[in-house]
Amino acid sequence: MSTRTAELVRATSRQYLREPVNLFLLVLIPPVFVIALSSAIGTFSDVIGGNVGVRAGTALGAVWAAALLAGLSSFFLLRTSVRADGRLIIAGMAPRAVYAAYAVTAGFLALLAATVSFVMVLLTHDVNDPLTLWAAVFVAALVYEALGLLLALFIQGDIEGSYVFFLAFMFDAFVAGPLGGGEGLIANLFPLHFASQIAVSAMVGAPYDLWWFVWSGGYAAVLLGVALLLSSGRRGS
Amino acid sequence: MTQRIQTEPHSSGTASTDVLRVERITKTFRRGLLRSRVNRVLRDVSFSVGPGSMVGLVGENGSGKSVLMRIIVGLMKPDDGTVDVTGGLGYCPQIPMLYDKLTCDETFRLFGHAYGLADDAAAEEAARLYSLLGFERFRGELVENLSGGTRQKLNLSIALLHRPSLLLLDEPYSGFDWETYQRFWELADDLRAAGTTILIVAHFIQEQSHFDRILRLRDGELGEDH
Amino acid sequence: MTALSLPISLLAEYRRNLFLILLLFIVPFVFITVSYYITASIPLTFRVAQHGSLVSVVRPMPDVHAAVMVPITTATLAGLIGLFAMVEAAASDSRLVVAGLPARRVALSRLTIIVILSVVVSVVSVAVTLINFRPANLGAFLAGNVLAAVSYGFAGACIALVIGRLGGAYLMFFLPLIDIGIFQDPMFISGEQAVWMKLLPGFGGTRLVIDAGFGSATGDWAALSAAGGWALLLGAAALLLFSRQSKG
Repeated sequence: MSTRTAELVRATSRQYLREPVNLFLLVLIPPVFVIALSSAIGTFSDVIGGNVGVRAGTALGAVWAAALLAGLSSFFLLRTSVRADGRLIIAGMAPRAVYAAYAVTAGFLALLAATVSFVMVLLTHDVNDPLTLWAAVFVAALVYEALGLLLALFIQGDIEGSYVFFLAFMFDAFVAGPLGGGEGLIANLFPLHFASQIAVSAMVGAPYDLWWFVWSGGYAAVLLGVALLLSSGRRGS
Repeated sequence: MTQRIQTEPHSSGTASTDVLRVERITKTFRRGLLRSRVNRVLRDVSFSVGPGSMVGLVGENGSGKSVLMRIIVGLMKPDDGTVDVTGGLGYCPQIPMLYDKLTCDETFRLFGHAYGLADDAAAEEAARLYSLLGFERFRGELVENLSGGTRQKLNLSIALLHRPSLLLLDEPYSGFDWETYQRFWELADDLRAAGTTILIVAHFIQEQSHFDRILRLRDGELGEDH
Repeated sequence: MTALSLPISLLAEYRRNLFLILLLFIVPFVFITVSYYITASIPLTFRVAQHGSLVSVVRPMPDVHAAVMVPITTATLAGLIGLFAMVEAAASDSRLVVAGLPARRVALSRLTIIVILSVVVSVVSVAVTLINFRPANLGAFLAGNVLAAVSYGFAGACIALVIGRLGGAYLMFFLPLIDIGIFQDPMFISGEQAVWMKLLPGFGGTRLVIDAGFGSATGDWAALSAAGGWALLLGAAALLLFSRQSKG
């Protein structure tokens, strides 16, 4: 990381941390969501045709909480300072360096959201393979973080961005994931498909394919790469 | 029709020494569902400015001043035409484009990095600008907590931090008190004397005495007041 | 200037935003239709109000899912509208206040916009549901959805003023999902709800939706007053918060 990017990572982290309520909610929401969901999810999955028990449902809750929070964080971090970033770019900062800095800062937030979600699952249920579960939740958060960075390039409005996230999330959660019993090529293409499969497998001790990790990590890397590539044409606000 | 305005008298007069050269800039906005409502904001605008001059850019609201400014600094792409800037460029937007949660010191440091200044060089320049514009006591304050006038001082200082050869100021003194306003013009005169070229978007007649030249935008076309 | 001229001029921002208008149709359509089709066609037993008393009914699961997805969708979409309308208001409407408009009037205009858009979102969502599912009492079904949407729209407005944009976005994604999507959802909670679940903002509106969908909803006064009470309370809180902020 160049010193310029490092300086900007410091600045963007300060922007985030100096609004402590955001950090507070980032660590508060996953436990609440995981507990609420695990209290109710078992019956629900039977209802919509998946085959997910309470433990697996709890793992999915962790995946969703971490992914959504990471995605919203990266999208809004970028949206909030788009004008100041534009000025920084005029001053000589490479647009790609600006994007890279946000990717790093949002990456820390993804790590934090994933870890809090994971710890909550660990505290409330038996986890068959904790390390794998943590990695799956983190990689899901990274995928959505990258999605947020990419969306911020195309979508100018807060409401529009949130709605697109909501749409993506609902597909990931209800259609393409283990909850909806999503199978087949199209289900595979949804961002959280394999990360969710790994999380459930790690939770209940079912086998999983290492390729699922490669695919999910690759998904995040490709989205991030495309965002960085397209960001170089950015002209600020 | 093309307006080409010659370099002003006290520059050397050749195109090669121009600090800013704007050639045949055209910008049209299209709106509506079928993009059929056309608003031609800038039509074939050309001018050039040599070193060490202060140029005012005037025109009614909506005449295209800010669009031209944004095109020159690179925030907006023209439909047609070119902009050439020789040397460093400092830009002070009308609405401060700053990070709310950073302090003044941190803002200087970050923009110092963007300009490619070393940390101690940026700090030295920042100290000079603090005392020049008189807002040193706010150096540890978050931008969001600054008053409008102080925020504008920081806004202007960011444009001056790297001692650019071309300064583009979009109504930089809005929100200044009288004393700061006077000091701003002293500063601008000093900078010009030191060879800096300054292009200012201005509104008031009494300011026009400071300018070597006044460019006037009217209906997207550029003319010059004499 | 009539009472509605300010909200109408502020509403122009939304009317001119074609992408947003598209999303306001696409999101409910996709959610509600997809929920219907992915749901296994098995019977679900749950409780609804039938002519003033709670009775157990058995209904096909896809119908229940299609019905309950409506308030989840409308509350989330309206909540996000309320949040960002007030974030915007806090940033720019203070100029209107400085220009001489009373703060309460500006805030009322924003709340009016939230109500108008909540109704739009609800009508679109209910219309989408009608493709696959016909509620027993359409009027009460729509009313329940509007109340859930308005409550969350106003909640979004309060959250914007207290917490701000990013933290507000976190909350407006999860609150409707947890409240309506879990604790008011008969697919999760098919028996008697705990008292604290009935105290959540989504209770009254969702209760009306379920009762109107599968029972009669006549005499559902407790649900109606819970929903209306939350909407009024949150609306008043948003007004108070905005007035206080623009004075400070």
